[in-house]
Amino acid sequence: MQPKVIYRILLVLVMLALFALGLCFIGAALNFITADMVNAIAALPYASAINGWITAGIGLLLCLISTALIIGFNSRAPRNQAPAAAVISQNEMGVSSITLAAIDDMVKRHCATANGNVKKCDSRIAVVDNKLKIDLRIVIAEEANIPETTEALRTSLIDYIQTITGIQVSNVSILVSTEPEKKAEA
Amino acid sequence: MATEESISMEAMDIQGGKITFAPDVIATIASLAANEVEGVDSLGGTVVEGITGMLNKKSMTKGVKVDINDNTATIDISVIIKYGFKIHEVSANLQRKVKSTIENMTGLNVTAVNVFVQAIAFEKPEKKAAAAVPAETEEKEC
Repeated sequence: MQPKVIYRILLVLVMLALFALGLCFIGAALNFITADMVNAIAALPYASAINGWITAGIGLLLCLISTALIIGFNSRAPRNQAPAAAVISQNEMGVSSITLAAIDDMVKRHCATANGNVKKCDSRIAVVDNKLKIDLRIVIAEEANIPETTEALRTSLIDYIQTITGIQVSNVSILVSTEPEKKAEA
Repeated sequence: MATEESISMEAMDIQGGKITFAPDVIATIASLAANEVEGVDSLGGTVVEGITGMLNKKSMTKGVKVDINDNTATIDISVIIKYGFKIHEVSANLQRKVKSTIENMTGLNVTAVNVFVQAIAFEKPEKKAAAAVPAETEEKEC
């Protein structure tokens, strides 16, 4: 389980505990929780040694949760984020760049329209040394020739992206997968 | 980033006068020039600018950031480009158009026009259907 998920779970637990405490305060104000009830609850830790240990354990747990949350939310290491844009050109006029999301849309559209044998296409774009690296996961028609289809798609996609964006494409990796079978209708 | 401070032109100081430009003026000029470039669908913007545009009148400076130092300006423009156009050519035309327009209209020296292509505008299916309806009616009439 990723640390980020653990911190979220702990935060939810703390919020629920605070919510319950808030309800108790409201209950006390409206006399739903009487003074005798409060005194009885307050006396529990002192009733026996075991109660005392349980109370100490609850207190320690709350301290640990709070400490973990404080440390977790304040000590996030800076992430090495991959660039979200690719540079088109850089000259005396300025810098032109395009988002990887826009390139991704273009790739998906090209895969859907340029080759009739490609039924479905998922893509992932990355920038390496100012060049595009494209990973495709496609589903092709059953009767299609896989080597010919993938090579035609790779060639046309590289040519299309380089012509339209002006950005060099270093690599296009294609993974041919099958589509999950649809469940038979009852 | 341009502030509320006025921008003065040194050239006009010599003649005893002073021309000042509000920061939004430069951004508006850049925005209008950008929209004239073929291939530009619209100017992009942040989420805040989009919400502001829905609540108020359409902002003329959406997607444009202007940074002024003395009498030089740096322009950052976020654009959405129409599908089918060569992006690097549209981007280069946009840079030339914005630079020349601002320099001609204001006399400011534009050091750089940075273009950020935010998205590609594909033709919407409704437009295709609307275009197909007149064609069908023409066939029926014949």
